[in-house]
Amino acid sequence: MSLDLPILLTLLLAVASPWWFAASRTTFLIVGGLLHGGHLLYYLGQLAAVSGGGDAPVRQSSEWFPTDLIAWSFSGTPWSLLFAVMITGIGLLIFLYAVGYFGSSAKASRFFAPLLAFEAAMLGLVLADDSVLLFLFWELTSITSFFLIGFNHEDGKARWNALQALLITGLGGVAMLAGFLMLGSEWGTLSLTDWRAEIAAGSLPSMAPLILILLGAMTKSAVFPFFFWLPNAMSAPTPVSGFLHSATMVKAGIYLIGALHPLFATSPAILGTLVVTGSITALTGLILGWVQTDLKKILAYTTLSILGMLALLLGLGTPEALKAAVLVMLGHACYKAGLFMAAGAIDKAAGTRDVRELGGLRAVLPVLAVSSFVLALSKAGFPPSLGFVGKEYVYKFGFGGPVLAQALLVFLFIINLGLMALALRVAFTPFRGEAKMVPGSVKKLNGLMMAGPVALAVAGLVLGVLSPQLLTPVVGAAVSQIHGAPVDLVIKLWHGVNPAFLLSLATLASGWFLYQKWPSHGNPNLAARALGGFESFYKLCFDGLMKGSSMLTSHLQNGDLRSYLRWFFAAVLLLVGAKWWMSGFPAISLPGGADEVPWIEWALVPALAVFLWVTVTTSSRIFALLSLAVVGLAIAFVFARLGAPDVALTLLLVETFTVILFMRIVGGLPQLRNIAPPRERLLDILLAGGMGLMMTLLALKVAAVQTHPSISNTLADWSYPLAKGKNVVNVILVDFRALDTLGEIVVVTIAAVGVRLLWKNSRASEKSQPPSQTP
Amino acid sequence: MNSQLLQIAARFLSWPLVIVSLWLLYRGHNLPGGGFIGGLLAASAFMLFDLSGADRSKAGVFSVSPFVLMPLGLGLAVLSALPGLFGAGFMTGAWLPGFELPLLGKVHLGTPLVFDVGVYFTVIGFILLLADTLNEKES
Repeated sequence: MSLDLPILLTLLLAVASPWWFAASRTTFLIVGGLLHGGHLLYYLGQLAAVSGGGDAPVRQSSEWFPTDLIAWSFSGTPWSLLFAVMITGIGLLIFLYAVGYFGSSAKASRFFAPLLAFEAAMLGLVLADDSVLLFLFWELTSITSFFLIGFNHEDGKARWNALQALLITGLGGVAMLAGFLMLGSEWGTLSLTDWRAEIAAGSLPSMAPLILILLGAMTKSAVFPFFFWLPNAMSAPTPVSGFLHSATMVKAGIYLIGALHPLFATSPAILGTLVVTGSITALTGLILGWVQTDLKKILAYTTLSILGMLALLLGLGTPEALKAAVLVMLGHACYKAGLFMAAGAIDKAAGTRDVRELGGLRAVLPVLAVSSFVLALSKAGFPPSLGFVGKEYVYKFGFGGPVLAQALLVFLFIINLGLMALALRVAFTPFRGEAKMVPGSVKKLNGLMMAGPVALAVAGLVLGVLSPQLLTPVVGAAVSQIHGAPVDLVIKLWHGVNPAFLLSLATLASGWFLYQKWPSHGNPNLAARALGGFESFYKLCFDGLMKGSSMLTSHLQNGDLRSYLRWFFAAVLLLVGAKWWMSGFPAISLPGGADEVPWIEWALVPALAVFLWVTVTTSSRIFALLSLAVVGLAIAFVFARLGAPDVALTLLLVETFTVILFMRIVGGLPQLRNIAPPRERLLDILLAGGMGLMMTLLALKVAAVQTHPSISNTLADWSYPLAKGKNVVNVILVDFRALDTLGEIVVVTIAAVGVRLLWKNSRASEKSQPPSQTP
Repeated sequence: MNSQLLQIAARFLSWPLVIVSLWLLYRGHNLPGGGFIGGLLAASAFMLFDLSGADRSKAGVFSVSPFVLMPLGLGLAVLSALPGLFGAGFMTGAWLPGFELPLLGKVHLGTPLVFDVGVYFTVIGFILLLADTLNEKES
């Protein structure tokens, strides 16, 4: 077993899933479940080995590109493995849940391919050691989540939301790649482990790459001002939301900040940015979540809140803050995935997710009621849940920390208060009080859909109660890695009565009070308005991009042959001219021996000039064509005189065919004079003149420069002994360079087919147009 | 254009043109000529029919379709590359032992000639396809 095997196996299952699911749902469920379970156990074992203190993280690397720059390399650091465990563990529950959620509907068979591919990409993202490999997986999560968010593709809003998530996280990803490559060229390595070692050895990274990487992390983790895509991503089916929002997609940015924390910690400005944007995100998520009535929307906004809090804690960067961050993240992964699954189950059973229409479900769904309540307690930070442990450390850090941290206590208190009230609203309101649903209208729930909430409720409790034993080594190892230096920490469930505990009690009491006294009146429009500014700015950029590219396309690719030639010539002139200028205008010397040219070739020069003049000034296409053919014949004559009879013969025949073929269509074309206004003609003259001058200079330069010994004599010597031919030109064509010729005749064939298709299409479109529009 | 005179001329001139083109094709290995030039010349024999307004589809061999000629030509060119696989390598020339023939003198038959015949057919097919396409437009 190696670190990347689960990634490949999950991908394999993704590829097979459409057929497998359609053929046999049961075996798919069993094999998929066992596979996830196996992966979970494997990563748990690795995590235990690494965090036990003894083992160094596993690093493995193999070549997949013929370059040592981008390696297929993975490293099992504690921080990475912690994520791998969360991804496979919650992935298992989401997988089972999704099988139950979709039942045997036709949609299901196309659901698992993107879901499993997303999971594989997520695993690759957190385990990759090579930063470019990490980027590849990063983009793969963006692409697969695009398909997941837009899964209900008949809905235009879902498609728009999917594209929004893809564009924002994708752009951030590109910025991140630029940052990676800059750091890579700075330090000569693309490995994350080596980067951390560089920092430990005292190197300082420059600012620009850090900002770019942070941009990638902030877009992915929906931190202000990039947060508006996340609530929109709620248009995904519930299993996807549960997965994306708990342990995966939005945590990728948090993972990256953690993995490169020693780098970010070299710059107070970067950490400060995280603190400020994290605080704004946390507060915004809370306020906007407060006015929602849709269970999924409430959960989405609280996710924002938690992400903001994580960014804030990581930005504070002290070992205590990091410890709190890791615990909050773990707790959130468990309860958020569970609550999403519960929300989806309520939706399935009761047919609505609106919290105002829900109530009294405890009688019909007792198991779901209990597990939801336990999950909500964890979210609210009630002892002895995992959420409580996390919150305790958030407060403890505040009391023991620097002045800034103590000032933040008030802020964190408000956030936790709100989270608690919202937790109760999501997981308590639907079950309490009078039944609001028509008796008998509530559907029975599939057992598979219950597994997730129940398992995660139990996990939250067990991890909370046993946190001193289970989590101390793991969190210790992860925090040491993030901090970049060994941190000795102990996790305790009970700290005695101290300020942090009292504040916790205060949070619980006032949270309950808030929940009871201030029920939601539901004002989703407020959220829409608040995010409206960001949305419309995004839309402005999006529309501008579309308009700009269509304008560019209509200028560059307008279907007019002359403008294609203009752009092409202008570009060539610009590039060659720039090169010429950069190399300081090298002198061009005329080749000697002009007096040896016989008079008959000199005599061609005025003749050529006359016919060229006719070509460019005549208003008759036939005249232009014929005089151009004469120019071609004269050049063929020169070739023949210079000892290239093959070339001369070919040119002669090609000129002939050009005339014959062109004659057939010339009748239907407009007069030349009518085509271009004088100003365009001036431009054409300049371009043509420049092009001619450039080609002449190039030809002279090429003739004067000899960088390698001439090959012509060697080829002439080889021709007969090797290829039994005395005509070197032909031997080169059909023997020495036969592959080139093969390529050329293939191109000739493609060109002919292309001409035919163009012709047919233009005739077809002419026919389909109303007669008045055809010229 | 529909010229009786040209149509008769086409009938008499087309075959000599094809024979000359074949000769150019064969001698190309030692003297000016070869598949490309030969193919262009042979195509001009086809063009004579078109220019005179005669119906090429009733002119025997000259009614051949470009969609036959081009695959045939490409196929021959690729085929000629294969014997090399068993010898010196892909696309390396392979020859039969040379022998004497009346009129032609010493003859070397080998894969380069097959390749050149492939070029010959492809070029004829190319010109014919263009001409046919433009003819359609005209009608």
